[in-house]
Order: sequence, then structure tokens, then C-alpha cells
Amino acid sequence: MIEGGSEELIRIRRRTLRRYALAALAALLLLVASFFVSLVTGPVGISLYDAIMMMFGIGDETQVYIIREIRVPRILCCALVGAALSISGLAMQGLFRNPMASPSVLGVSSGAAFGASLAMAFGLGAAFGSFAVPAMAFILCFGTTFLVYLLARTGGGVSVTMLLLSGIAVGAFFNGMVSAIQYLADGQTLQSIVYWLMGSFASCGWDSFTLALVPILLGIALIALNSSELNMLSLGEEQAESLGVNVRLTRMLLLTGTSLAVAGSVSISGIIGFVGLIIPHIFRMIVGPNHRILSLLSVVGGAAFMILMDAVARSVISPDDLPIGILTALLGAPFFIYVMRTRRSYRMGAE
Amino acid sequence: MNPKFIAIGVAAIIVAAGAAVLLMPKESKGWYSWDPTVGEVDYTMISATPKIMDVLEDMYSIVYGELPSRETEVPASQLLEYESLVTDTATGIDVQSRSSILPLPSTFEDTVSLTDSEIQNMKIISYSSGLTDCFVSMLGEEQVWDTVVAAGNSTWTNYPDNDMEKWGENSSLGPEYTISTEYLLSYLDYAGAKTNGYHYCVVAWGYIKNYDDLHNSLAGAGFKDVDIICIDYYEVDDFNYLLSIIDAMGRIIGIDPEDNEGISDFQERLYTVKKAVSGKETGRTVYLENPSKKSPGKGTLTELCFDALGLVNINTEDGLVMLNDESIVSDKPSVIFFSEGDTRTMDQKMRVTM
Amino acid sequence: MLLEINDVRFAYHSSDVLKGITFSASGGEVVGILGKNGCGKTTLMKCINAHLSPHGGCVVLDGDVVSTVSRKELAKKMAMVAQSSSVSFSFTVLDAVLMGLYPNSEWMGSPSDSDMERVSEAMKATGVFGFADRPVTELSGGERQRVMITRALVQDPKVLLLDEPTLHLDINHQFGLMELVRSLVAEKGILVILVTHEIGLAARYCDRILLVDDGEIAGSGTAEEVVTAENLERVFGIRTDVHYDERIGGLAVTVIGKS
Repeated sequence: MIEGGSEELIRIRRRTLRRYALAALAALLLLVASFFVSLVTGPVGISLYDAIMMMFGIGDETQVYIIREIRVPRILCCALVGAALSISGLAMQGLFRNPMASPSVLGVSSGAAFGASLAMAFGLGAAFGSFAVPAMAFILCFGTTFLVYLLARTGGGVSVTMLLLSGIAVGAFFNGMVSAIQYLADGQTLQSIVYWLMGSFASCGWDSFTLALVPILLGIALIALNSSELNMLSLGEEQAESLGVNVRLTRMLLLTGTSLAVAGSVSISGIIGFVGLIIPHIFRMIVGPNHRILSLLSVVGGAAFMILMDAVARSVISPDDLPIGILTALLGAPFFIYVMRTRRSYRMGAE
Repeated sequence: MNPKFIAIGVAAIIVAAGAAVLLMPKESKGWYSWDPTVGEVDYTMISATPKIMDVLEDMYSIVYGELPSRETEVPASQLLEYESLVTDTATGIDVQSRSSILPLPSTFEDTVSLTDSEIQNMKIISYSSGLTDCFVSMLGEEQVWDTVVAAGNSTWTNYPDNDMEKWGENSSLGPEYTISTEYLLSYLDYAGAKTNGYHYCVVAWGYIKNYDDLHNSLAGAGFKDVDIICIDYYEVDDFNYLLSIIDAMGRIIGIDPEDNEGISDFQERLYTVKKAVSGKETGRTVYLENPSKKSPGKGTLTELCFDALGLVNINTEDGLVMLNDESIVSDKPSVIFFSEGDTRTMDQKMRVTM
Repeated sequence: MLLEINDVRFAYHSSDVLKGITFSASGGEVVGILGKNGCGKTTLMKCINAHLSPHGGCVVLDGDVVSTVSRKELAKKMAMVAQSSSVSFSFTVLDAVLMGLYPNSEWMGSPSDSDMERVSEAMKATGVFGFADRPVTELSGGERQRVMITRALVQDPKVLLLDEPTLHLDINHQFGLMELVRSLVAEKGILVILVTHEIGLAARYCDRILLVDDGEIAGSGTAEEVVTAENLERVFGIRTDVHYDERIGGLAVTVIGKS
């Protein structure tokens, strides 16, 4: 039982804010550490000191090339994608008021896969030149969100249940289309498609980074700036409205932000699952459900996670490169189960 | 949430962006930076087919320049030796049939016996474009369709079109990989196999899954005489075995090894390349990348080609693997091959940014 | 402060739920909207707070039609506590209550010391101060209800809408809540609109009652005027005995049986 007056409440709040600050700091440190760990990981051995020098162009020409043209852009792409997928997962969980939600729930990854397959199998998007595959993936990913949204509109507006159902249906449809394309494609294209679907950062250079930077940052911003609204949405849509939240607008912003972020990610790295589901979860278990701190932690923590996963993917069967989608599934799922089961005090919702 | 945190966050983003701009090189030549010789070959032909010689010759011209004219006299010591899959019998020949499917189909016949008269009246139904290629190399592109009367579809060739032109629609037998019993039976029916006096032989790669089904359906529909000869695709890991296959295909249509133009063609072309290479400076490093970014390493037919050309593969892993860009940049292969079917632009393939 | 409901009509699919409701109210009173389940009272409540847009007529607060006012502006004047509170994430009581500051706060701002004073007082008034740091999901239904009401109070509204507030509460908490409501009305002069199907509650604590039957007004006026045996028989189909009880200081309703 708490006694006293407002000073007591202020103390409780301060304690919470201190916890948040600590968590944020820890996440930031983790991000920086993961950057350097990944910098020195790879089939070609380079010491940490050398690697740092090489970032500025000092050192053996080949190794400088490796650091500046291969490793640094790849790490930055991982950070972007990790942040994007994590915060999108957070947005979806808040929007659908369900901790099991993730960006794939809207069927957007299936749409992106379809776009990429079209480019790889039939050369659609040739107008974009070398960027045909990422461009098509992006366009279809984004377009799928609007398709899902339009299909979910009924006379009374858009309800969250309808969005979910629409997303599942559209996702299933595009999955079928991707399978159809795989069936019709010749051996080599089929390999390319299957490989792309597994998700990998192996081809992520500076091109990919500049391509994905703007949509991902925009998407992250749109979601993060609606953090307070996400908090209130968890009380229920009607209650949120009575608190002054424009639910319709907020929903639009969250959906747009998510599709931008996911489209940007998928276009450079293929389909990487699980990250959007587990990262927000893990942080929610540590700091609670306040979306304002969760947005920050998802972005920073998600980036760190992806960087580390990619470092593992590059070293586990070196010099071959393991597609990261496989890794996130294999490592992510058991880890999540473990955390879920050991933190018994963790509760999700009210009866 | 304190405005402090936001300020820190914004500052961090600006710093990161600034660092990125600083570190980001303005332009890069990608893999061109060590000036390798770059070329495209038909990667799909590096397979169990005599057409692999086309690829070998292409590779030669990319690396060393124009190929000298064909050597027609191959010294005996340079001839590739091969084991025959065929043994002579009193009445004709016995041909080995092999499959690597596990478990082995219960009705699998590992020896197919053919009499001389059957060989004289042989008609071939081919479910493998590689095996059809063998017949083409022996009989020529026009004549071959008198012998190979029906074929399955593959993604790399349009052989069924040729058969259909000559023999009608029924000779197109559906996809190579899933042999349709229906199509086969309807073709045999259409051709009058029971009464026309020809002997039919189905040739296919050994990984077909419905062997039992085919065998039993053929027997059940009254086509007991039709033979199925399987060649184990996965055993083809050297040029010598390719010659064994061409030899076997020749024997079943009555061509003796001495008269087998497919074999002589192969031997001559291989010798021509090897002889030309022996006069050149060899030992350059090489890297081949297929459209899904994988590279053939040890124990692949591609490496055999590299060996024949005196090139050293930077990929020392077994089989087909994807190499990390870093190792490629570190090894700086002197020759780089890509596949003709690769839809990426050359800049993309050579990792040129900006 | 004046709330006017002018000939409001609403229909779900093709059935008319509200067939023309008109009344007005101002600060300093507790108005009850009483009726059977399904008579349209919750729909009326949703039209008042602009969650639904009426198909005919309008709701006007201080001269502005509520469906034209921005959500945030409306939230500064009107707060609502819904019937059932399903919370999907485990915020602490304090965090949940602090959300009430949103309509009046700057974007991404934090609560000032005077804000916290207000919050503290509200939490004490509703009796949730004691579990300020406990997760909302660990509380009972009634306790959660009180947290939501606290949050509504923190919004500092002129109009407070309560949808079946006593539904999950123990009887002693019911008293506590209604006493609180009455004292708020007396101290701050707010208007409380209370939707309920509990006749006794309405009779005892409401200054005025709007009796709704099948989407239409079946009676409007003070408790004494509206809560009569005839009206109750007509609208609810029960026989009752209604009389003033000094011990309560208001009307007492005894239900005798079905009519």
C-alpha cells in the first residue's frame, strides 16, 4: 500500500524513468558493441584496431575495400532493417492489441515476395534497371497494405478484426502466387527466388543502404511519434477516443509507417521473420508496456540484434554465408520460449 | 518521456548520418578494381551432356583468345579411356541400368538385354535432354529425329517441338522430371508399338521416381517389350563417364564405338583445347558465379573444365556453395565467369556501387 | 456549460435504434439515462461523445456540434468511462491514470508538479492511491473500473459520461462511487450523465432522469416525476412500490413482481 501525497507518486515516476534511462543506455551500448563485433567478423581476419583505421581509408588497399565497401554498409543495412522490423512489430502489437501480432500479419511480406518473384522470373520492373527486384518488392509491399486496408473497409469504417482477416486472406493469396511462379520458373530462377525468400544481407552494399534509408527512417518516425497514442489504444479504441486520440488517423499513420518500414527492409534483405515478433516482446518484459520507451528500445535493440545475427550468419559456415532468415527462426524461437517460461511474473492481459 | 532523451536521440542520428557520409566512398569500381577477365557462359550446359564441350570452348576463347582449328588426329595416349556400360552377349548386348533413388524401385532391372534385331529396329523415347544430346552428337541435328521419336520437356531445350513437327503432337511427353505414364502409353498406342515392328527403349536419368509405376503400366497395357534404361546422373563427375554414356547410347542403336561420331567429336574437341592450353601460361585463378550467387567448387563438372583449361578455382569447398564477397575480393580471381541466364546487370554482378 | 441533444436519430443496419431524442442538461447535476437493455441508451451515450455520428439531429456542447469538434478538443471537455475495461497491456495504475493528462498536455510533454497534485487528489478520492505501482491487470474488475474513473477525472472534464459504472462493483463500492460522483458534482459543478438499467440507483442518485423505451423518451424530469409505478410498469413490465425514504434521503423502489 502506498501512502503519502503527490511526492510519493513523483518518486514512483522518477524510479520508472530511471529504469527506462538505464535500459536505453544499455541498449545503446549493446548497439555500439555489436557494431564493432560485426566489424571484425568475416572470412578475412582483420584486427579491431586495423578495422577502425580502415573505416577512414587507412591500411591495406584490399582490406580497406572489404571494410568500407562490404562490411560497413552491410552492418548499417542490418541496423536499419533490424530497427524497422522491430518497431513495426511493436506497432502491429499495439494496433491489434495482441502481443502475438507481427508485420507479416498484414500480408505485406507475401506481397513483397510476389513483387520480387515477378521481377526475377519475368523481368518486370526492368525500368528500374539494376534495382528491379528491390523496387518491385517495395511497390508490392506497400500496395498490399492499401489493398488490405481497402478490403477491410465496411460501412462502419475499418475495424481491427477486419484488417486482420483481410491481411490473412491477402497474404495467403500472394503466397499462392509466389508458389505458382516458383512452379513455372526454370531451375536457375527458382533458386534465386527461393534464396531471396530466405532473407540475407549478403548483397547489401551502399546501394542498398541509400535505397532503404529514407523509407525506413520515415516509417520508424511515423510509428515512434505515435507512441503516446499507442499507449492509449491499449485501453480500447473507445476509451482512447474519449481521451482525445483520433483513432482513424492514428491507425492510418501506424499502417503507413509499418508498410514503409517493412517495404524498405524487405526490398534490400528479403524476408526475415521473427524479429518483429520477439524484439518488442523481450523489451516489454523488461521495461513494461509504455510505448514511448519501447519505441526507442525496439529501434536500438532491434538494430543490435540484427547486426549480431548477421555476424553469426557470416561466420558459422564460413566462407559460405548462411541466409539470416533461417538463423532468426532457429535461434529466435527457442530463446523466446526460454524467456517466456522463466519470467513467471510476466503477464500479458486481463481476464 | 523526457525531452532530453529525444534530444539525445536526434543528436545521435545526426552523428551517425554524418559519419556515414564521411565514410561513404564516392565511387567504387567493384570487382573491376583488379582488372579481371570477365565473360559469360551457358552455365546450364555444364551438365551431363556432350554440349559441355561447347562451354569448354567458350571458356577457352574468353581466357586465351581464339581456339585453334580442330585436331582430327588424337594421339592414342591422349585419348580418354572409359569403361563401357555395355557387354556383348551371344544374341546382342547387355546394358547397365543405374539409379540412385532410395529405396530402389522393386521392379528395377539393372541389366537390359537387347537382341541384334531389336537394335536394328530401335526407336528411342528420351526423358533427358542430356541423353538426347548424345544422340544428336552421333546422328546430327536432322537425322536424329528418325531415331529419337518422342521426348519429354525440359526448361533448356525444345526437343519435343522437333519431334512434334515430324511425328505429331503425341510425341511431346510432358515434363522430364515427372514422367507421365498416361502420355507415354498414349504415345505408344498412337505409334502402333505393338504392331509396327519397332523396338522401343525409354532412356532417362536414374532419379525418376515412378519407375515401378511405369514398369507395371507398360506391362499391364501390353507393352512388355518396351525397355527402360536409366543412367545415374549423379555418377557423372568426370569426362570419362560422359564418354561411357555416349558409347552406351550408340550401342543401343547399333553404332560401334569405332564409328561413334559423338565419341570422336568429344575426344577431338577436348584434345584440341588441352593441346592449345599446354602452349599457354596457365595457373590463373578463376571464379564462376551462377544466378543465385553460388559457385561450383571441388568435385563439380565446372572444376573439370577449369582443370582442362589450367585454371585454379578460388572456391575450394565441396560442391555448390555461396562464397562470401570478402573472400572473393581477398583472392582477386583473375578470371570471372557468369551465367548467360543471369538477369542481373553486369554492374550488379561485378559489385559496382554508385 | 450547456449540453443539448436535438432530435437525435440513429439506426443500425435497417432498424431504428434512436427515434428522435431531445433533452438538455447543464453543469451541477447528475442525469440518469434509464431503460431496459437494448432500448438504445448506450447508443445515445455514444452519440453524445461523438463515437457514433447520428443519422438525424445533432448533439451540441457549448454551442459546438460534437461530431465536428476535433477529438482532442472534445476530450478536454468530455470524459467517458466505458462499460467493460479490457486492457491488453499491463500498465501500472499510475501510468494508466496519467493518460488522462493527454488531452490537456503538449505533444510529448511530461506531467508538471501541479499535474501530479491533481492526479494524487483524484486517486485518493477514488481510493486507488494505495496501488499506484501495481499493474492494472492484477486488479479486480471493480478496482480497474475505479482506475478508469480516476483517469477520466484527471481529464478535468465538464461532462463525465459513465456507462453502467456499477456493473462490476461490490455493493459497498457502489455506494462509495455514487457518493463520490455526487460530491464531484457539488464541488466542481460538472455534469454527470449516467447510463444504467438499475432503477434503484437512478432513483436514488440522479437529479433528473431520462427514461428511454425502445428508442424514444418515455419520461423526462426529476426522479420523483419520472420514477413512478405507472412508468415502471409501462417500460419495464414490473409492479413496484415507489416511496420517499427518509433514511436514504431519496426514493426507494421495491419490486413486487412481474405485471
